[in-house]
Amino acid sequence: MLICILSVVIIAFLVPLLHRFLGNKTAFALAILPFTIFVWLLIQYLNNSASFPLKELYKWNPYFHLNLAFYLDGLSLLFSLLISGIGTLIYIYAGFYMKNAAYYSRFFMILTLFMASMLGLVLADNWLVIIVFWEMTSITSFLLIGYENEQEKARAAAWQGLLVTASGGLALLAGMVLMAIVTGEYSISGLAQYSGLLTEHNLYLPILLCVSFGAFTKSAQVPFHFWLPNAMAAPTPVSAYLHSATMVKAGIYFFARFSNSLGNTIEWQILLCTVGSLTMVTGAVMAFRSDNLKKLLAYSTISALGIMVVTFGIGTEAAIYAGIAYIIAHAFYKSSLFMLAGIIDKQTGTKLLSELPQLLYRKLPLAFVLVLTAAFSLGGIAPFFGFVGKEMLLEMTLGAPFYSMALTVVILLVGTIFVAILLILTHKAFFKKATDKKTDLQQVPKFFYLAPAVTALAGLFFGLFPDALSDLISQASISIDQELPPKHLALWHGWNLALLLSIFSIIAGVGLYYWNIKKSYELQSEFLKKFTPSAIYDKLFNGMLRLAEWQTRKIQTGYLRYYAMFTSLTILLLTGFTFLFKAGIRLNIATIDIYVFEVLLGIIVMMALGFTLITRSKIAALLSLSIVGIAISIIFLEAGAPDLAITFFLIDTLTITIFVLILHKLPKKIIAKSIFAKYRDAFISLGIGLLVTLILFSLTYHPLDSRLKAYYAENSYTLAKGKNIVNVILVDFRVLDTFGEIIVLAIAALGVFALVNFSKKKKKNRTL
Amino acid sequence: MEFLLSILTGLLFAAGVYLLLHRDFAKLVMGIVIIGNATAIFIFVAGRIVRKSAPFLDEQGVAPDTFADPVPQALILTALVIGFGIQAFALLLFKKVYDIPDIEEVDDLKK
Repeated sequence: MLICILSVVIIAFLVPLLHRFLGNKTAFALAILPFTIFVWLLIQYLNNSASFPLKELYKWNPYFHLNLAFYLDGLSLLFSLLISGIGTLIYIYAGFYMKNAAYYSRFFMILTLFMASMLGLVLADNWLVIIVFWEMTSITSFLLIGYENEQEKARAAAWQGLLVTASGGLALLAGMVLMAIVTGEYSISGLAQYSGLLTEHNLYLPILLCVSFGAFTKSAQVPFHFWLPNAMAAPTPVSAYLHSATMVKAGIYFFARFSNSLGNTIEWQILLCTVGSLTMVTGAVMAFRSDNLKKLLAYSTISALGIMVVTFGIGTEAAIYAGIAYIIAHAFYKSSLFMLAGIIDKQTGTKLLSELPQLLYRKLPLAFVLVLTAAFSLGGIAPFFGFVGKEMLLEMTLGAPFYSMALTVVILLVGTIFVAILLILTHKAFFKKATDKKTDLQQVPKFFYLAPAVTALAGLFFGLFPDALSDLISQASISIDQELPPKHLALWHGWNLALLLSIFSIIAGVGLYYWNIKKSYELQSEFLKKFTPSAIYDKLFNGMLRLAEWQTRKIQTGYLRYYAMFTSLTILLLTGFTFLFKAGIRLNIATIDIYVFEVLLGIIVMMALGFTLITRSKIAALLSLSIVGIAISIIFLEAGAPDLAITFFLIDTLTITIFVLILHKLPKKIIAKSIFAKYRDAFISLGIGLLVTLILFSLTYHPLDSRLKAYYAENSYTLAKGKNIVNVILVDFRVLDTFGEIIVLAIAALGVFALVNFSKKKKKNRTL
Repeated sequence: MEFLLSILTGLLFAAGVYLLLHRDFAKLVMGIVIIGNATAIFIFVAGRIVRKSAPFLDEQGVAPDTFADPVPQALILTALVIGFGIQAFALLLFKKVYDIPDIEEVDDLKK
């Protein structure tokens, strides 16, 4: 499995090279790649399905539990078959669609990378690896959506998709980390055995919310659905691929995967059923009202995704089977419809239903037949596979252990709207009587129709012989719940309630279509427009930008002293907060001992410091600064540190000397602070001073037990033959530190040297 | 002595930060110098203070009963020397900046 993914990644990077040799035929050559994987998976399925799950493990970094673990069971098999199978068709289709594209090789390179990350996502077992692939799908889909980078709309849509799904990725990461904390398990397949522990745990709700947030964003559930219709800015092959088999199915895959570890609780059922129901109704209504063909299909995808979320929310035997069957049905008809919409767009030059030429079925008979085939599956009409899926859905809701009535009504409502959408796609698009626009049809090669024809006819074939998929669906379901009995799918279930309801929804759908045919399309109310999730996203996005801009303007002023001020304030607030609330002020009064000599020294330091602050003469400020330095040297001497005292005295003298040397080149007077600045700076600096004093009080509260001190005292003579312990530490025990110090000093000296020479040269130039 | 030095360290830090926020280059550099000194004393106090007994061994290489902790002293020595490098560099840099016409104070750097 690793070889599969790796080969796709490697070939992705070879695409530009291939393009050089094969030109516009590269796509067809590339189609061999997913096809090979498809065949390999089929062979695995036919030969090895008894020994499922197949596992592969490559140790990467076992210490971090980071292993390249892959896992092929019924569920990942189903998804990877869809990814590679539909991927093959997408390549063939894109070969025609992108024929004269400006960034041909770039497009196919990213598409291939996207396919690799999708395959990795469904095949990976270790969740750290899954997160990596998840983010890879986010990034590659960002590049695919924003493919037409000259268009601002495409760029904005790409951004939106990335921000929404990447924030979901963060939530998913948090959820996975929490699960690892609870269970200590890093493989997804191993999570099922901890189901009891997870669902009983205090952290269950946060885990559930985080994981579902991630899956909801990826699968475009309300209220995160808005990125998907906007992602229509991508080229049509991408849309078809994203919607039918990849990207948005990743979230569904996660719900299927986690339903045996996190599922079957009240919280899970309520969350998934509510969000899923809301999504399927919203998506269906929005699809019904759309005029843009691609948008209509996008919203119907959202609706279908809602249906899938509900099935895994219910989680009964019938629901799991229905969910898996619906995933397949949806993949067939949605990929076909998208590709056909792209062809119609290429031929007529418009995606808008209202602008399509009249009586299109005469001009594009092949497209019409294929749309009809796929749309019948969408509408759930016998004998197409969509019908089988819909029957199973109705059986599921009728047998649901909770809210059976409500869920059935929702499914029926959505089914009704889907029938109306079927009529829009077929009747309204192809049988339009009159139009004011004359369009010349572009000719396209016949093989353009190959890819959509395959998936549309697959929908018909599996509708007639649904039992052919029984084993695959059973395998996938068993990997969710091992106790499920194998199921046999059938087109004809006999006269039962589900069939009656299905017939009812078809009649109601036809009624809805004719009732609404003259109604307008887009959302009318200006008021409501402000509160759509998309508008809220825009507001948040712009607000964030404005906040960042404001903050940058306020903090990054370009004035050095304001940077210093913000740094000091941050230190004051953060350190002060942590210190006061986490540590607290403590002062050991017993150890206070005051000597008159020391107090006098302290007073000298304070006076000298004060004079440095207030004087406006530079030389006076320097002289008083040197007094401070000398006083500190004496303090060091007094406190048993003669080495420090000598060094400090020397260095202070040197600094003051250099200062005096360059002082004559500077203006004599010091520029004063304004009154306001004086008070403000005094406030900040006194705050910091106070904080430092309090920290030192608390720090010296307990006596220090230094084992190092004893060690050096014992060993400095025996090991290093030195009697001055400080010296021994510097030149022997910690000699490497001293070496580093010398290097720093040398670099500083070089810098000083360069600065001195630089100014000399400049002066020479001036005199010349 | 720790009590007194703690207060002194706080004052040194306060003076240093006050100067650091100054518009004048000379005072800015003085601020850097003072903060460097203050940090040295901070580490010194944190390592506890023992009066008048330097960490020297006697003729036989035996430590006296009480002596100052040599570890913070060694650390501060290193810090002081590096601090001197920085101060020297800052001073020359600031002299260089003055060589540019029109720059009189820190705020002019924004130009």
